[in-house]
Amino acid sequence: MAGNPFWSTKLENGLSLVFESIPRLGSTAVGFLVRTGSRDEPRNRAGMSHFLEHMCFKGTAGRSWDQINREVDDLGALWNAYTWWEGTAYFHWVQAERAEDSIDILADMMRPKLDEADFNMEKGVILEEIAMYNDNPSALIADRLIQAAFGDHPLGTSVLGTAETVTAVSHSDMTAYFRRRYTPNNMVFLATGAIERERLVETVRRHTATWTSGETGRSQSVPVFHSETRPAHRPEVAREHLALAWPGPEVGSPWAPAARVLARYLGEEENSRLYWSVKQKGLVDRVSASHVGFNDSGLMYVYASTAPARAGEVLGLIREEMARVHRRIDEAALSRSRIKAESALVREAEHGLSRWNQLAEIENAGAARKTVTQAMKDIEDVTVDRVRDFLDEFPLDGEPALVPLGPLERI
Amino acid sequence: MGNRSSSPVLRVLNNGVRVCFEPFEGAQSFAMCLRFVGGVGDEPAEKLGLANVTELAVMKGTDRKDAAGVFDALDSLGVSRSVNAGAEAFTFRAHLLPAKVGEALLIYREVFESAAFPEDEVALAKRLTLEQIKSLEDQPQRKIVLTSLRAALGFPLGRPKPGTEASVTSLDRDDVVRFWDRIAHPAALILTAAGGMEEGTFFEAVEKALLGWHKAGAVPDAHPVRIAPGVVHELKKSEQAHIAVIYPGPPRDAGDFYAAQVAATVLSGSGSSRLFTEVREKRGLVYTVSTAYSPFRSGAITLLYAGTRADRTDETLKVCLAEVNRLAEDISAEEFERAKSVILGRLRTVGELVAARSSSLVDDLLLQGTPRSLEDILDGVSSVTLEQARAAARHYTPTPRTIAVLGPQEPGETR
Repeated sequence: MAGNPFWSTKLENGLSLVFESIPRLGSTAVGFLVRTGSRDEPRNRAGMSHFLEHMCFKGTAGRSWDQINREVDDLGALWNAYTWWEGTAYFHWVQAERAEDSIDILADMMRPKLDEADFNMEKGVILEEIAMYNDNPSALIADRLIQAAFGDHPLGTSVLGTAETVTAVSHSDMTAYFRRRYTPNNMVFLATGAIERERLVETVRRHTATWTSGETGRSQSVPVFHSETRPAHRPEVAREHLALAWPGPEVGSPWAPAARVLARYLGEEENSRLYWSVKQKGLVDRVSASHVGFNDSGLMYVYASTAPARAGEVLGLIREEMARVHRRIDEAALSRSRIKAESALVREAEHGLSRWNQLAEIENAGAARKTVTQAMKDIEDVTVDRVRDFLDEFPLDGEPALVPLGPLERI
Repeated sequence: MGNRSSSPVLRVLNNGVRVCFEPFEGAQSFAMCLRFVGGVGDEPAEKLGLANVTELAVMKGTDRKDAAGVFDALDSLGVSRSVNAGAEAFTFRAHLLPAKVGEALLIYREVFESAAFPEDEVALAKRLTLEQIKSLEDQPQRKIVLTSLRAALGFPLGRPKPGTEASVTSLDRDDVVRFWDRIAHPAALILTAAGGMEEGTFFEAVEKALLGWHKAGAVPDAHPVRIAPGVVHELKKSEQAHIAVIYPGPPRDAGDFYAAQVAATVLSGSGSSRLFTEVREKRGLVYTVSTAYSPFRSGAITLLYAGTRADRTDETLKVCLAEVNRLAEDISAEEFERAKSVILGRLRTVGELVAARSSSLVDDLLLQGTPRSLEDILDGVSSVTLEQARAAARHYTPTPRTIAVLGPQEPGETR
């Protein structure tokens, strides 16, 4: 129907389907979201969801791994998958007329063979990925910070895991985890872009007909934020990497638009508050702020990379800037942050894959779907008063969760 | 395709600016690249890091605005932007709404013509460059690229963009002003754009912003691409060894460019490609193995990257080199068709994005002088025959080559 690009339904087996049509596109992004991530793992098996994501590429009853790779390339699909704290997503971005072939392959991948020899081979690949992250502190630190912020709560489980926890995952652990988590009632099929609804629904129905629902049992206790400092002492690292977080709103919260605009105001790459107070002094090579939303929680996140000798000073300046926003908000600067957020929305609306990723996050959290027009309106409403109210709800002048990662023994 | 673009229109303004625009019917967003021919490779020999310092300082004030004034003006228009000094070109990218294009162009013109490079901003740009140099130690994948380019291409094309601590420290404001003065003039400017706007409206905005800019200047000559064979090792206490191999690639204006691109896609760039299959899928040696094609004005290179735990360096390198060498021996009909599908599929998805089109056009104008429409590229790839792809694989032999390893141990025998 005109004005509403979204459409959703649920199949007999419990699988949800959500479509967002973007009429001007000739491409379609299709794929499956599985509501499972590191939050659903035992702590001593951290990294299992991500490992399982890799295993879904390693062959099914009907297709070997190389057959999957060849068939996807024959379609010319741009494809990948990713795992985060609360979800796992698999997508193809293809010309609209190839979408049904993509669904055939993707649905098949959601029922992997989980062959033991492949499992052992892929474990080596995962250990390489962990080693790669260990060599890239800026990419590693967000995971560490979330562990500090949420402590023993399941949300504090590392997405990638460590060499120890991944090595500890056995073939039977994974098989049991897969059976429990990859049930259609715990999954969503998503499509964005050029969509022929009936054909897609029929195709999904046909390829998932044998799937049966089950009890998924997700731990839904709301995480509690800890203002904990958890240093990661790494003598071989050159810089001191600082990650800080304060409580923020969840993905679907009415406060989320304010969180996003405020993050731009505080920590966009250029012309933000942190840019002028930290980078303009030549103290860091990078400083940024962002809002990280979870299904039932969230964080306001700040990252900086600096010389170890200046880490204390940089930390002080960041804390000062976070406190200052409670006292003064520059109305003109906030207005510019709104304009940039609106401009970004228009860009993303024309990017089929970008919209697919956003929809995956929204559906995973069970949040309300927003059209671009609605999202624009939400951003327009982020006035100075609204930001003040936000700060009453989510203060930034308190003690943060903090991870200093680098050569300093103490900061 | 839904979001139809028309053919690109090329015009040369009377002051020498080359402007190329591709209208996208119905698109709500707009992307522009403003590129000066001249970059890191055109720095004076001993002034390493000068282009990087210029990149960091160029938007920090004009004769009418201070740094905040320039930023505020662009932010008020909702311009998402970047500035990047490459080996041969200095590129400003802007993504914005069509209604703001005219005003944004006026701000860029002001920066181009009268960037002020205040003393304190140049000093800050130097400090930030020194920070970036130190930060490279924690970004091995970026560092190995710089190390391998320097070893393979030497000066000028392989000059390390951030420079060295000693050279950056010795730079002064006059160096920056002179460098910008040499690079930024209308005859060296290429402006490409793609998005939802009428052709006439766009060119009117361009003329209003750029026609009145008169400044003489020469376009730097293209530098030859010469790969120095050899093996370099840089010691680093890292978990992975970061491996780069550089060898020749097809020049962008070569008659067999598309054929070579298809052959290169058989080797790398998708799930079924040979490198991914042999190095990662069959042997589990890496998480990342990839090749990147880097064209220059007078030639091109291919850069292969693999990251593997240090004790598997030699094995990984051996398997990678075997695959690189084997490409010239045979390409099957099935692999050939599949590689074409991969390239065409990406063109038909990513090709719908205005930013991708504006970037593609700016490369066309720098590297071959004429713009290609998306249809031209699709036709070029579609018309490649198996024999042509095989011939291109034989023609562009992976020699001479430079091997660079960043990691805890030296590579062994490399053949």
